[in-house]
Amino acid sequence: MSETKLHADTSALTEAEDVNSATVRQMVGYLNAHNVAGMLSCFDDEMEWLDVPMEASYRGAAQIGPFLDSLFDAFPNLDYELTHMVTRGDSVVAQFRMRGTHQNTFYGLPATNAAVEIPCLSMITMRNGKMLSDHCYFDNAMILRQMGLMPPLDVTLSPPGRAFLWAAVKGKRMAPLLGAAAVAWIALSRLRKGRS
Amino acid sequence: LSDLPTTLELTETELRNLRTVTDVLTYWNRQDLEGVLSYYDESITWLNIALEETYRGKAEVRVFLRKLFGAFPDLNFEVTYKIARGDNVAEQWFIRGTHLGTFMGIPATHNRVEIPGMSMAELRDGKFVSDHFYFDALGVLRDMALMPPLSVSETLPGRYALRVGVAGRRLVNGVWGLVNGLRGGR
Repeated sequence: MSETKLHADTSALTEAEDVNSATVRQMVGYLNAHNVAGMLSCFDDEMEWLDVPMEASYRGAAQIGPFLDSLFDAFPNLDYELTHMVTRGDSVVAQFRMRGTHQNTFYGLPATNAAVEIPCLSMITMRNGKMLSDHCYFDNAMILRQMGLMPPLDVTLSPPGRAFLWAAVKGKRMAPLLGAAAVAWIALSRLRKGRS
Repeated sequence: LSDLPTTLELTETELRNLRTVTDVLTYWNRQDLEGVLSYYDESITWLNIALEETYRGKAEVRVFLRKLFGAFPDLNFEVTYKIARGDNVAEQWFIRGTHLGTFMGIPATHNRVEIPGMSMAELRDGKFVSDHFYFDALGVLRDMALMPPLSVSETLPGRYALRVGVAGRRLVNGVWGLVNGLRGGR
C-alpha cells in the first residue's frame, strides 16, 4: 500500500530518461511534419532503423534518409499517433498508430490508394539523448488486408477460406480450383447480403 | 549527459512485475495452460493485434492459448529483452515451434516457425491485467511456406505479380462498383 510512497523518488523519471522521452516525442513531431532532417537530428550517427516484419534494416543518415523519403513519398499524408510510452534507462518503448494513404510504390508495391491504419510497438534504444536503434513491430498481413491484397480474416476463417488453406497445404494443385470456388462463394454471399 | 545516471533502483512493484513475467515463461514452455492462466487477473484484456482479436477474461484467453498450444505442441517462448516502469512491462520475444495443428485456419504444415514479437503488458498485484501482443502474421505464413520470401518483391517477376495483384484488385473493385451501381439503379 505504502509502496508507491516509499519509492516515489525512484518511480519518477531520471533526468536522462526525461531527455530520452523528450527526444522520442520530438522525433514523432518531425515525422508528422515529414521533416526528414529534423528526424535525423534525433538520431545517433550509428542509428539503426529496423522494420522487424519487413526484415529491413537501415543504418545511419545515409540509409535512413532515403528510406524516409520513400516512406513519405508512398504515404504523402502519413501520420503517427503516439498512444503510450514507457521509459526505463536507455530504453524507450513507444506504442503508436500509423495512418496514411498508399499513393506511391512502396517496397515494390504499386499505389493501391488504400487508407491504412496500423498499430505498432517500438523498442527504442538511446545513447546520449539520441536514438540509437528502433526495432518496430507491426503486422504486414494487416497492411495487405487493408490494401485489399489479402482477404479479410472472417473470409480466411470461413468454410471456403479454410478449404482453400487446406488445399494450399495439402495439394497445391487443387488450390486454384478451390480458390475459384471460394471467390464465387464470397461473391454470392455478398450479393445475398446486398439484397437483404 | 552521459554522466547522468540512466537507471535508478526499481520499485518493489517493478521488481515483482519483472519476476512475474519471468516466472510465467516456465509454464509457457511446458504448454501448461492453467499454469500460464494463474498469472492472469480475472479482468485480463488481451489484445492480439495480428489476429484482430480481443480476449476478455481468463476464459477467452484460455480458448486462444488452447488453440496456440494445440497448433505448436513444442512451443517455446523466449524473452530477449524487457523493461519495467510502474505497472508496465514491455518485452521483446520469440515464439518458436513446430506447426502440428490448425492455426489461423491453416492445417498443420509440419514446418518450424519462428515468430518475433513484442508485448506491452500491464500488471496489478503481480498478475497480468492487460497484454497488447504484436507479431507479424505474414512472417508466420512465410515460415509455413504459404507466402514467398520478402526478397521476391525485389525480383522482376515478383514486381510484376504485385502489379498484377494491385491491378486485379482495382478491376474487382471497379466491377463491384459497376454491379452495385446497376443494382442500385434498378
